[in-house]
Amino acid sequence: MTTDKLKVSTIEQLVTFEVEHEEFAIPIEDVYQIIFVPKLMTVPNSPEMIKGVINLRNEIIPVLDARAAFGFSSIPHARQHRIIIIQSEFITAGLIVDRVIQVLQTAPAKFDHVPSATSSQQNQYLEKVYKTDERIIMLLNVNKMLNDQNMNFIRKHNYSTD
Amino acid sequence: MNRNDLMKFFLEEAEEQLQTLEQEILQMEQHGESDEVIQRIFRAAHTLKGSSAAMGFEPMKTLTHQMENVLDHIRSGQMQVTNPIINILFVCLDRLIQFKAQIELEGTCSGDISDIVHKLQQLIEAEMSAQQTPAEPANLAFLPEEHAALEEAKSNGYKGFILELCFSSTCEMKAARSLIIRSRLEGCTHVIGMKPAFHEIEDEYEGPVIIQYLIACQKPIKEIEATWREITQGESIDTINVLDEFGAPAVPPAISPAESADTFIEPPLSASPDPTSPKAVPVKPEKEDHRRAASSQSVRVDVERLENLMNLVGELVIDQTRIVQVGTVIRDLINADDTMDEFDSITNHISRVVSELQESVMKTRMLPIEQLFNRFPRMVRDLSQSIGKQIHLVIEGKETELDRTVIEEIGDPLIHLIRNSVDHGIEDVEIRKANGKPEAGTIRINAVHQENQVILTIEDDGAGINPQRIKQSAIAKQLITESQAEQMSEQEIIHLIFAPGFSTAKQISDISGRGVGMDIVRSHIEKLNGIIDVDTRLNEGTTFTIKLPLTLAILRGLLIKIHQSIYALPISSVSEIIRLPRQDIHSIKGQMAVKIREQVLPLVWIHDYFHVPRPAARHDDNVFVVIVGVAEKRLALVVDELVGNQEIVVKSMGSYVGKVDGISGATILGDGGVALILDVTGIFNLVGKERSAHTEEMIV
Repeated sequence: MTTDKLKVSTIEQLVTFEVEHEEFAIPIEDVYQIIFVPKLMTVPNSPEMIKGVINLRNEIIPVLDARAAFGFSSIPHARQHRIIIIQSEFITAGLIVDRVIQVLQTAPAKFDHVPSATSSQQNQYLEKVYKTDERIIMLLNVNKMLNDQNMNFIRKHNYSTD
Repeated sequence: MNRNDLMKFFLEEAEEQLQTLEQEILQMEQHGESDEVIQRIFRAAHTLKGSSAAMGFEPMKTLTHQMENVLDHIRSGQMQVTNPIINILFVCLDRLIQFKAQIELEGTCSGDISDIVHKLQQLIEAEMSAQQTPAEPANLAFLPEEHAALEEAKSNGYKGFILELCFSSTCEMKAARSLIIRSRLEGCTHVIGMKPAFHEIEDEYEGPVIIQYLIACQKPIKEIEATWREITQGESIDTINVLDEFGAPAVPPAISPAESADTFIEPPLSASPDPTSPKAVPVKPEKEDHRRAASSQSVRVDVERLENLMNLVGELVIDQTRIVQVGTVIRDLINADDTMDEFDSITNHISRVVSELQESVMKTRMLPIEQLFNRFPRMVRDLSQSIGKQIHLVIEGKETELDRTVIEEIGDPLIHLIRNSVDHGIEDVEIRKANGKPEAGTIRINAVHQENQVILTIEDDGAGINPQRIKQSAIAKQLITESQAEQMSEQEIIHLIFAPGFSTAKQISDISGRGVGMDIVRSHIEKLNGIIDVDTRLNEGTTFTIKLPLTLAILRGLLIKIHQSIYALPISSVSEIIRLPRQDIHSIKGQMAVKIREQVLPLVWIHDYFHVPRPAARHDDNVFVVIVGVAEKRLALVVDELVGNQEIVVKSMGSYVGKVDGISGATILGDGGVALILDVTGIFNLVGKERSAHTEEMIV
């Protein structure tokens, strides 16, 4: 809990984006860059959440589908789609979102815990909620998302070779 | 140099010296003591003592100092090398390795070494009381065979001379210097002998040392004298002399012919580097590192820098292919003119330079596999002692070079295989005797280059793998069903040892038999794009063969298109490309196949495995088929289009995507897009899996 508070106090700016008409956000320090969606190379037999890989400055990075991650059905590519390049401690990855909204200045008092009513699929990567008068923005835990999926996949892989 | 740099340097040096220690002590254990070996051990301990003292690692210094003491006694002949001594030297070595690890982690080194020090001292005391008489001083006469050689030379019209010099008391590394001078002498005359011999010269002895070289020469005495002066120039030498073959001064105006060769003589003609006060003022050793510089002209480079260099070259390779591609596009857009021609010649030049650069950088990353192989003798020794087997380890092809990342990655699998050979392969002594085999088992490790690959073999003359036992064990572990087992060939059954969760060890031993192992070995090797194979004969032994690519970073790839996406196939695994009519694809028992030059090959639509649609029939109704191979297996892959072949830089897709069946990595194409690299071994597995699932269904 104490670490929770600490983390909140350090969040000053959020990059907010939209997936299936809901607003999500990532702390700006976890965002490396925002790019247009280039041609993706799909990786056969990879988990549904991995949309493919792209070349970002001569490095190959995986691109995740935010819709799949939050349990929404996928939609065809649209012009306003963007890839947010996010970084966790060890992994750089892209996240396809429906649209990027803004960079938001935050006030520490407006953070709250995730309401328990949200679906569990969404819940697992959400950290907290930021509430303003007219908006509710769900904060994504980038580390959890990248590492957790990583673990899942390793587990899956081990299982498949058994 | 700041402390960090010093530390790095210290650790690198320590690593080297510890390795030397280990090798040489093993050498001593196996082949008995020899002066050179002891000298090398002594030197390694001495170097460690010096550097650890300089860094302030007190326990390390004390320990190496005590080792030095014992070695010194051995060297001077006051002590014999016995098993307890070798064992305690190993104990010392292990402790030093611990210290080094501790320093690496914590930056300091602490720990109680009084137990070892005590044991070392005890050894010396015991020996000293046993033999009170100190060793005879080194024999100072030339050997009889040297005299014989001189007589022979004399009969051919040569004259014998003795060239004498005296190293000043402050001179360092006298032994090495004496050798340097000898080799310089050999450059201009015929050197028959030298006394005292190299190993009798004590670096630590603090006093002037006289060295004599016996030479055979036809030149006049004046000339010899001049040459001798020239050769000894610049060393820390007090005096030099030219004597006749009997040790009397050879130059006519000699001081006193009565003086013997062993006495210090200073005839007026002899040149001293510093004539005013030859003894009091030591001449600065200008060529301190002469020996090292002469042996190899090398620079220590941080691995990270090399890695970085390789990455940069990788980027260059990518950009160079992109420039070529953009050039082609521009050529189509504008009319050819001089600028365009110039652009072409520049691109060509860049391509050439880049490929040369790539080759050079690749070479700098190559290391002899020696440093990995050198770890094995000790390991095998310890293992065989702990389970009471006698094992003779033969290592061949130490000098074979391969990429350092490959060496790093292949270490664990090799260790595993060797442990397996020691534990399961080589039988107990009684069984070996009963089977009429020599008591000591032999494990042979070999590395050799073959085309663009390195072949490693681990061979033992042990019991071999019993396919019956493998079969039973696999059925018991439910890896296969009995009916499946019936249909499998012996070779296929043997290959089950690479299946996950397989181990035939009757009990879990310290060494191996945890039920993991061979599958990890296999997956490690496949990660390196390598192949492992096993050949075994009951009661004759087992041979594991590992084939590895020389380097992982850049390879030649064949670009192909499968449903709008470009994939790369390593050219090394492509054996043939053909175009054939669709109707030539036959179906044999549900398996598609093609017949190529009387050989029937299974054919695979990779589209099915990647869940993309097969291509529509072309107007001429032909398909492109790429024949790929792993070891002796061949497979025909249908592709939509052939795109070209080019150097590809292998990039990992990262841990997030992880291992995908049939894909080994990715690369960046000329247009900036990404192509996935097909993993041929993986495709074989994919196809195999599918097929075994098929047969299972049929059986059920």
